[in-house]
Formats: sequence, C-alpha cells, structure tokens
Amino acid sequence: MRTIPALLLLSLVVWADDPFGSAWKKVHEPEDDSWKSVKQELIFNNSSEPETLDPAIMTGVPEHTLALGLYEGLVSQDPETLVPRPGVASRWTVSEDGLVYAFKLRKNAKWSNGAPVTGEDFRWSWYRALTTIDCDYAYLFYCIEGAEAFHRAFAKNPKAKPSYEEFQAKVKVVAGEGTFSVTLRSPTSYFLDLCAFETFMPVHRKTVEKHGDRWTFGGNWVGNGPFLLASWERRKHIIMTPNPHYWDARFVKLKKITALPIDEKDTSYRKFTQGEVHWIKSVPIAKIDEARRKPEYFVAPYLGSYFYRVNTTRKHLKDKRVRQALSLAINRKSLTRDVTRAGQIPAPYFCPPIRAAAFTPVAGWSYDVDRARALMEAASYPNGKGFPKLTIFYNTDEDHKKVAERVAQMWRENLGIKVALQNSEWKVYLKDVERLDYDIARAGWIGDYTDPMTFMDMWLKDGGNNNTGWSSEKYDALIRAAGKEIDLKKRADLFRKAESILIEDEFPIIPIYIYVNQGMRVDNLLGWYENVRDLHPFQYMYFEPK
Amino acid sequence: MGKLLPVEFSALGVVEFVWIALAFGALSCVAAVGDRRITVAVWLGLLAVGCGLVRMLTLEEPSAWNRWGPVLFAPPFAAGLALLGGVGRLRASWLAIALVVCSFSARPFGLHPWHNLDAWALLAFVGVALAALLAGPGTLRRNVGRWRWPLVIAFFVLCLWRAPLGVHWAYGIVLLILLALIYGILAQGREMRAYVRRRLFGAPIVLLIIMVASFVMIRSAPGGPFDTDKNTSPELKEAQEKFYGFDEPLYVQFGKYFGRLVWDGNLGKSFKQRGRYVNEIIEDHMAPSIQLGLAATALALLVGVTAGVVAGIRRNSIFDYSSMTVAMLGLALPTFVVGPFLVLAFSIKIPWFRVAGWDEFPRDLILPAITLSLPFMARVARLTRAGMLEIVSQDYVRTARAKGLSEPSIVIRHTLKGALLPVVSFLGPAIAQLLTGSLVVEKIFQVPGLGSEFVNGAFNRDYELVMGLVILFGTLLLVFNLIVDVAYAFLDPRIRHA
Repeated sequence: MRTIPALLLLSLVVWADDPFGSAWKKVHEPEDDSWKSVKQELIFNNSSEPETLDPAIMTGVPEHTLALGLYEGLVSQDPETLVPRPGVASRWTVSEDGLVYAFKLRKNAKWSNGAPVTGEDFRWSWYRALTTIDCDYAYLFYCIEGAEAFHRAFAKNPKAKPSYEEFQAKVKVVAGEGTFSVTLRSPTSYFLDLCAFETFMPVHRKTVEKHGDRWTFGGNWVGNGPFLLASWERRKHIIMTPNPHYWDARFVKLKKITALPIDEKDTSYRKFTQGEVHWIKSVPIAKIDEARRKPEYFVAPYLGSYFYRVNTTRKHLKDKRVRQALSLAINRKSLTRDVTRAGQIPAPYFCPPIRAAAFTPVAGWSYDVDRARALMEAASYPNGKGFPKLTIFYNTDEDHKKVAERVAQMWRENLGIKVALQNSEWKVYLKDVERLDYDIARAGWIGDYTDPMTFMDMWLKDGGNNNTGWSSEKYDALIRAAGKEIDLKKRADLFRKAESILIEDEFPIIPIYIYVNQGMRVDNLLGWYENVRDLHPFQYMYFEPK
Repeated sequence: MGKLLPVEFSALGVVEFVWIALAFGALSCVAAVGDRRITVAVWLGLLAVGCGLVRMLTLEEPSAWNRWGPVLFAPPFAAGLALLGGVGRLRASWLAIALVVCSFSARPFGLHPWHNLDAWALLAFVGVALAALLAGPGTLRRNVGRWRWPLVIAFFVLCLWRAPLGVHWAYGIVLLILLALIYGILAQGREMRAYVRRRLFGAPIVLLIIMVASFVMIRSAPGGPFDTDKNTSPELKEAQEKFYGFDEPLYVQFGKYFGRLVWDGNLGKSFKQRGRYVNEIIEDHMAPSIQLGLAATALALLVGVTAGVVAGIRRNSIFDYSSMTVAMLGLALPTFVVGPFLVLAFSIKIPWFRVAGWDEFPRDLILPAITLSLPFMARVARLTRAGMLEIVSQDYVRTARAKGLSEPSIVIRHTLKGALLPVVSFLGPAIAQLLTGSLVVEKIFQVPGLGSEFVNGAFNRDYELVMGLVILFGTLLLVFNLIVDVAYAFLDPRIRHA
C-alpha cells in the first residue's frame, strides 16, 4: 500500500519535470485572476546604458538582461532553476555520444513583424556572429564542428568576409523544414545552456542587411522575444511592450517595462526608497545595514569569483610555497564580514558550486597563519625577512581598494612582509595585467554559462585570459579530458582534480570570495526568482495586488 | 529620380513648415539688402546643386535625404534671400563660402530627417551671420531694422513652444547669443572687426593643434578600445585592430580622420556605443547639457550679480557679511555634497521634485541647475562685490552723484558696467565649462548630458568619441573667449576706442 502513493508521486515528479511538457510553466502561472486588477507596468534600474541591443555583439549584464525580453534562443532557461526549457525549439534530442543535437522548431514562432522564425534564421545568425569582427564571444561557437577553423580563418583576414556558402560547407549546422541540427566536435554538456545565451540568439536577416549596424535603432528593430523594443532614449530609458506575434503571447502578463540606466548606486537606491522604481540590482555598501532590515532586500550567491592573480614569473613569487603562504595568510571570513559586507561567500576555492554540472568545489586551504609562516620560512623568508616589497594592483574602485587594504594588512601582520597598493584605471590595468607587469593583481570572473568550464579553461597554457605566467601540463590534460567526458559525475571529478592543482598546490591565483547578487525588489512582483546567473526572464513576471 | 522625397517628409506637420519658413525668413532678413540679387541667387543655387552632387557621389551610406537635402533646400533659401532684398554690401563670395560651410557641416546631422531641417536652418543661420559679420559695418542694423525684435521674439517663442525639453529651444537660445554677439561686434567699429576677423582666422589653427595633440595623447594611452577582460583570443583582438585600421602609422590614421572630418563633417563612429555616430551622440546629449548649462549660468548671474552689487554698496553691513559667507560656502562645498543634500531636502523630506531623471520640464531641471550653479554663483558674487568696491570710489561716480543722479541710475548706468568687467572675463571659460556638462551633477541627477560621455569615452578608449568632444569643447571655448573680448569692448569704452 505504501508504494502506490510513492509511485504516484514519482510519476507526478517525472511528469512535472518533463522539459517538453507544459506543466513546468504552470508553476509560474498566477493562481487566480486577481493580478488583472493591478497595473502591470514594471520600472527597474538596469544599472547602466546598454552598449548595444544586437545579441551577437553584446557582452555585458545590462545588455543580457534586456536580451531576455527582446529575443528568444532555441532554448530558454527556467526562471528559477535555470534548467533548459523549450524556446523557439519545442523539443530536442541529443545523440548518445553527445555530439548531435537535433531541434524541432515550433511552427508558430514569429518575428515581431509577423514573419516566421525558421532554422535558416538561426543558421544565418550564427554565421553572422562568426563573421562580425565585434563579436567578442565568437569563441563560444568553437564547440561546433568546423566553427573554430572557420572563425580563425576570418580573424586572419578580417576585411575579407567568408561567404555564407563557405559557412554552410564548413560548419556542421543544418537547417531543415522546421528542424535544426548541430554537430559538435566533442561532447559539450553545457551546449543547451549556450543555445539560450545571447550570442546564439537569432537576428532578423532582412533587417540586419538593410540597416547594418544600426538595425537596433529607432523603428528599425525586429526581434522574436516576448517583448518589443518600443523606445530607446539614450541614457534616459528603454521601454519594452508585449510582442503580439510572440508564440506564447497569452502567457505574457506585463504590459510595459521601463529599464533605467542609472549607474550611481546611491541615486538608484534613493529612487527605490521613493517608490519610483520596482527593482534595483545593487545597494550601496553604506546603505546595506539599512537595506537588510527591509523585506524588499534580496541577496543570493552569484556565478562569479573574486580573486587575486599572482605573477608567477616574478622572482620572489616563483616559489609555490610563497604563493601558498600568501593564500593561507588571508582571513577571508573577516574580510567578507567586515569589508565587503553584502553577504559574499568567503571562498578558498575558485569555481562556485554548480548544480547543473554536479560540481562542488574542492575544500581549498583555509586561514592558517602558522602554516603560512612555516612555508615562508621554508622558502627562506623567515618572518618575511629578505622578501622584496609586494604590490597589490587593482583597477580604480573604492570597493577593490578596501579589500586590497585589508589583505595587505593581513599579509603584513601575518607574514611580516612589506606590501604596497597600486591602482590604475580599467584599460591600463588590463594592459598591465596582460603584459605581466604586476606582482599581485585583483581580478573577478563571472561565468558565461552554467558550467565549471567557463572558470577552468582560463588557466590553460594558451587561455586567452591566463595572464599569470603559470601553466601545467597536468592541469591542461585534465581540462581537456573533462571537455570530452560525457558522464557528468566523472567530468565533475576531473574538474575537481584540476581545481585542486590550482588552489591546493600551485596557487597561480588566490581565491577570495564568491560574488552575490543583491538588490531590492518590491514584494508584489512575482515570477521573479533569485538564481546564480542573475537571469530574470520578463515573461514570467507580474504584479500581484498588495 | 522618382523618390526624391523620403517618406518622412510627408510626416512633417504644418508647425514644422511654419517654423522652417520663419527661420528662413529671419535668415533672409538678416542678410538681405541691395542689388545683384539675381546673380547671387543663381550663384548660390548652382553651388548648392554642386555640393549635393559631390555629396551624392562620395557618400558611403547615402539616403535620399542626405543626397538631396542641400539641393532641395538651398534654392528656396537663396531665392528667399534674393526676393527679400538681395545682398547689397554683403560680399557675395563670403556668402557663398558660408553656404558651402553650411552644406558640408549639415552632413553630420543628416541622420535624422526631422532634426535635419532644424540643423539646416541653424547652420545656414550661423553661416549667414558669419558672412554678415565679415561683410561690413552696420549691415545687420540697417537691414533688419525694426523687424529685428518681432523676429527674435517670434523665433524664440517658436523654439520654446515646439518641444518643451527638446533640442530646439536650447539651440534657439544659443542662436540668440550668437545674434547678440554679431550685433555687438558690428557696433564696435573697424579695429574691433579686424581683431575679430584675425581671431576667427586663427581659430582653425588653434583647433588643429588641439586635435593633433589630443589625437596623439589618447592613442598613446595604454590599452585600446578592444581590450576587455573577456576570454577573447589575442588573434581576434589583433584582427579587430586591423579591421579598424589601428595597425597603420599614426599620421596615416590622423590624415584619414582629418580628411573625413573636413570633407564630410563626419566625426566617425563610436567604438563603445555600437553603430552610433559621434555626431549623433553629440546631437543627442548636447541639448540637456545646454539646457542645464544655460539655466545654471542664468541663475549664477542673476543671484550672483544681485548679491554682489548689494554687498558692494552696503559694505560691512549684515547683508554683506551674510551673503559673502554663503558665497564662501558655495565655493567650498563640492557638488557631490550639495546635490545629494538638495535631493534629501527637496525630494525625500519634502517631495517637490523627483529624485533623479530628465523627463519633466522644468521640474527635473531645477535641482541640478541649482547644484551646478552654486560654485559659479559664489564666484560671480565675490567678483561683482570686488568690482563694485573699486568702482564706487572712482571720480566719475562721484561726479554722477554730484550731478544729483538717483542711486539706482548711478548703480545701473555708471557703476555696474565697470564693476562687471572681472565677472565677464570669468564668464567666458565658465560658460564653456557649464555648457559642456558636469560629470558629478549628471551622475547624481541622471542628466543625459555630454560630461559623462566625455569621461566614459576616455575610460573606454573610445577614440572617435573623445576626439569629437575635444573638438566640440575646443570650439566652444574659442567662441566664448571671443564673446568675452567683444563684451569687454562693449563694457569698457577705453578698449573700444584704443
């Protein structure tokens, strides 16, 4: 008797979890019609003016936030759990070797001008992304068979754009009647995640060809998302209204969305407290204590890591014992409690836990002054004697400065070494880090997709962003193996082994904390969820009566 | 040839037409006198058609509007000139040069057909005014005659009424200032005109030096527009630099930049704000800066001069001490303290204004204008007071008193003119500074002005944007310094007749 309810429950769970069913979406529906009595107009602060609304070349968070309203990829993501949900594709299958993804596209998917969204649209959009010189995220396509060679050939001679026919011949993307299939060069478990990412979102070919790089301006814009670009007044606001041609337009409840570009945190916070906006994405540090007492305050872990790079080519930092000691001598808990204060998670590890990839980070080495001192002594710098002055380099920012000051103080007190601070504006900082002209440099990394790979492939020997002068064949082999592994558990283990090299042995980086999202949101805005990617698809949101 | 007029043209309302007609009428009146009208009209028409043809053949991204704009608008303009009185002592060649300048410099604005018309009218106006300035004495006064005030008022009212917080009234006020300037210069006599002419010819050289210097400086700063913290490969970055021509020698890059600027009036495209022309960015964000800057200037002058005069006359009185203390505070308090304080007081505690934003006029203008004007107000008050103190003890003021003139008459007609001299010399650079925006005030109140564009442009290594703004700011500074010189001559007869 007892098994029946359990079975029933199990089948219910399976049914509700069917990615291609409609049950998962029901969860996000309002319970009754009371929401209809409320004005469904959202005003939020997007924190800065977007550089572009062209999905192929956008790279920032404010742009991505808006892209979720304006475009829809093959796949979308669950607003709460971020698991892949149907987008333009109503269902898909993955071959057993994890290499071939076959999508079935819905027939009623339409552009905002009423034209149907087809597989051809996607194929052309991907071709366009790969042949657009400003597409910084082109490397995300490299997992597709033939894409890397195609893009590298283009980058060699950027003024001669390879033809669409060449793309069709070389890159394994096939668009059929209502179908779309992609062949990967090696199994990529996060490929569906990529399909929901902005760089993979479709653009309307005729519009782009007609208006060039000004196709998102004025009345030119055409998109396929749940919302339309109604107006874009630079540095004033962006207004989005529901797209009547969206295939699930009936599900969309907001009538108007206004995105403000306020980059001044204090102004933004004041606007919220005055009731002029419904949702802001940050709170100034000075106001955190006040904000925390309010029910509107939210804080959640974010898929991002704050860490220090160590220049391993410097003579005194070549010895890994010194690097180990530097990491051991940082009291991360006190740092996040007293300095950053927004609830950041003190982390002696680098990659945050990622449920979708079954990844939990290695433990890392926590604060241990005695061991740090012993290591310094072993490296023949007893009590820091003879150790040259160390400089912490950061891009000019009040918050980074506070962290650096505290870390410097800990190193001075715990290791007896001399530490100085140095700051530069962003571009100079990037250049100096790239040229390895630093001792210790502050850094941050936000995951591009929900997978450890986006964190781990940075430290490959030829990683475009390594900038530490460190490399290890063993590490590279592990990451490469993880890239080919299909089994999630085994893959996660490979990543863990690699991470262990990084932060339990070699220390080309010193992890400090895991970022958080924090901000304020009015209570009666529902269909809005905290998640590690800070992704908030607008079609789920609605206001409930207070 | 079937599609000469773009679709947007049909959308132009009656108001637009009235406005344009009036603007052109005003222009024509300003320039019009004498004979040779037909010759010049034909000349101008031909020139304009020529410009249009050259442009049509050379533009990279031509639209019907850009191509035919000059062709369409120059002939009626020229005909209007001729019909309303001809050109008289205005030298035809000057007028022609002015028109060529206009038609080329209208190109940057050629992106929005609607703005295009306004920009055209504006630039043509400036061009004709320049021509009038260079042409000879008294032209303006004689020709416009009793029409000038109705015209000015009609123009101003139309600008104001057209768009509450739009571009137009800001441009209208700038135009009025220019008009006053030209009027002022024309009234000054031969030496002054020669001086102004020299300065005007010197200006392009100064600008060129500024351009070269900043071109070299911005490009030698470490980092470039394509440096990011993204995981892009070095090859892609190299490709991007190659694509945008950064691999060429600096002088070649400058040559191309300069050539495009002179030929086409095109300041290039921003690297950061994808797809946007720098001309467009300036056009969009100049208006808020001008509005805010003018409001702040007006406020600073009104309050500053009044307080200064009263403090100067009632020296050592309570009013003197208190107003100078307030002025000291205004100088000492930075805007990032005053701004949030005003917000706290008048948006949060007493909710009269919005916390930040730039939509409602004049509500959203008041707090930022006060914040921006405060330090200038304080300077003006102190300078006026000092000037007053010096002048009141002069012999001619004593004479005026001895003649039995009333106190207001002494202050306004005799003292103030001299006392304002230091204020005027301060105002030139100050106004240029106010107009080009203030980063802090723009941030606190979310004003979409030019100050933030400049600073962010520099941080992002957005070369084209920074260059464009340097040129704009350089020009403004030159113009306002010129205005100061002219105003000086107006206020101080010794200079005028020297």
